Amino acid sequence: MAVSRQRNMQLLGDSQKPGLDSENMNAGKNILGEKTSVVTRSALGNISNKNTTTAHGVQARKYSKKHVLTNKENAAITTRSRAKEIASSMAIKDKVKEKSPRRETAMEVVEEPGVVIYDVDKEDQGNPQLVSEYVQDVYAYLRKLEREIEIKEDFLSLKKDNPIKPRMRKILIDWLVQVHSRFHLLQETLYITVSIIDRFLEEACISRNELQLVGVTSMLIASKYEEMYSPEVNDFVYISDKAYKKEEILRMEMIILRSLDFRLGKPIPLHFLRRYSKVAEVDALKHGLAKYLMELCLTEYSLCHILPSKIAAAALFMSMKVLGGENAEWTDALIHHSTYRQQDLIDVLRKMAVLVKTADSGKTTAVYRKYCGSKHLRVASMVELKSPVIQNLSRLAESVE
Amino acid sequence: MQKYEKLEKIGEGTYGTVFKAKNRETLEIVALKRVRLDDDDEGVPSSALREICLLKELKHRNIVKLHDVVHTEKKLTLVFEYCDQDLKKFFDSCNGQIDTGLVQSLMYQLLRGLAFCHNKNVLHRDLKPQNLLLNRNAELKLADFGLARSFGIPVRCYSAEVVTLWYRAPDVLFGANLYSTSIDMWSAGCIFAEIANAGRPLFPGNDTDDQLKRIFKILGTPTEETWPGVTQLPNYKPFPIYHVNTAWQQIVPRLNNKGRDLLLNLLICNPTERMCADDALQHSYFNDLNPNMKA
Repeated sequence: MAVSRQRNMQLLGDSQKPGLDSENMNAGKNILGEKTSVVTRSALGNISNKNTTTAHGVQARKYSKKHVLTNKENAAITTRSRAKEIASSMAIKDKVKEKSPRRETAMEVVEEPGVVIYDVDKEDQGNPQLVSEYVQDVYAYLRKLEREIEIKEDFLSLKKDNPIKPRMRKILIDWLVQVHSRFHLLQETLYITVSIIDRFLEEACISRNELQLVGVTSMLIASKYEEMYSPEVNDFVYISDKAYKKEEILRMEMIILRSLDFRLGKPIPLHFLRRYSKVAEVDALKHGLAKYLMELCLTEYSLCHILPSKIAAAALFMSMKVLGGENAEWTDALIHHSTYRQQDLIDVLRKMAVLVKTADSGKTTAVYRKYCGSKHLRVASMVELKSPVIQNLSRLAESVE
Repeated sequence: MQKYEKLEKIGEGTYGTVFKAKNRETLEIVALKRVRLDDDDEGVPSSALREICLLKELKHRNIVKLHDVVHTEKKLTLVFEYCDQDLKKFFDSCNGQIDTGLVQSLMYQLLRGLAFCHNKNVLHRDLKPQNLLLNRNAELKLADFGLARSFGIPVRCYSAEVVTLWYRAPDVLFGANLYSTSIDMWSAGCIFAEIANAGRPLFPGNDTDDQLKRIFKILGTPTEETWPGVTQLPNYKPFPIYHVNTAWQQIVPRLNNKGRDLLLNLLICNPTERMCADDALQHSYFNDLNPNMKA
């Protein structure tokens, strides 16, 4: 299984070469079907692919055509019972959950008297795309919003005997990163997808069998919200190797939407990065590297609860350090616009440095491989990321703690 | 859905039928918007999804209130606050007469609701009299967010097929898919004139060309000088250069000088020059607005 999977990954990697990039996803389901077989994945057992002794796990570990059949059968047989299971185990409690008091993660930034912050929007007044009239209000609003829908740290362990483990989440997100590329979706959609998944997993109890269903359904919802043309439900059925039926996805859609009370407008790191990059006047490469770093963070369970505005700040800061030299400065303007000081970012920087070091090893390397592509300026394979800067950053971070 | 007693059909939204109904317990009158969900369908339509998501966030007295979302077998029902009529129906009852104070008040409320959306990075994209509701206290509410969406900054390309023709901005008519809050401001301008004329639409075009022609006849044909970049828009085509000596007193006789000035600031073809909602609210036209209104 390991071998065939690795081959699958390579195939996927190949297909991301330029030329194929521009391939139109809307060209039809046939093309999609043919191509997607390389990424289809019935995560079911695979997500729990370590020593699973349940019947499901054993079956699912056979990563072959046979396995697809098995899954089909499974699906057919268990649809009913699964429906019940969903209904009972996931029944979204109507009673309002006590929310724990909000943690103040971002510290109040007290600006030094006399520090003059340059109005970065001043010259944009002639460019309606930059909405200079509203940019301040909008970002203030996004910062307020991200606090309203904050995810708790280590949320998977908040429920007793939660069958969903951080490692499974990682495998799921890694796979969804590939699906996202395959469907040629907008970057926003990937971030919204992961945000939906995490918020849902924090609320609801699901079984391992349903984790992938939650994953594809979240991507369906995110696509409907963000994309001009969303993939069809059947595309998601196909991409998950027909592990789930269309009706199951549609049912899960309602369950997720109700669980989240239809609130999808959570700000994503990308919104903030664009702002910071503008303030810092960084080039496309630095901005691109920061995007890679932010996407690596998506897969990292221990960073789920960090506010998007902070992830973005840390990503940009690390990118500036890696490409601009150790002396790259987190300026007053950046402090002002991000509301974070250098020392507020240390914890995230350290974890980010570890993620960079391990990005190309292990089983979950989709983000790394994606950002090795020319479309992403090959930022993931830059030698600068091998340089001592990353080591120093993590060490610096550790020493400050 | 036993909770509500259906009273009568009100109309059709972007998706789904709208009913007037009564809450059996509280006797409160509500509007129900029903969306059918079939298994062979694509689930919750994206327009309904966006409308619900956005209205969950946008709580404002000039934005229609979404009380509840009820999901039953094969149906999704959005429960809205009920308003007696929309602006279009109101016009029908005006018989060509409207009080200038009311014009001012309606326009102020429209801009205030719009400013709230824009400050929370939401574009409405389908402003028209049918989508502006009025209750018996002449309170105006923005409704039907089926085409609305939240935008990022910088604003990305979105669908160019938005906004009902008569209220569609010239940049969008020329196929611009990079647009922003200014798209709603144009619609607001058209609606302003329509309110002032007690329901006579300003630019009732038959098709895209006719629409642009009507606009340019009154505002002048834009050129690269007046609107840099206009010739580069996807569906740009040259139009005759119309001589502009528009007699605004005849076009909007009920508006005073200040009102006309506000109108002209909203109806600017070049989207970068068009006035934004926050500035419009500060316009001197509203100086003598009833102070209770501003509170």
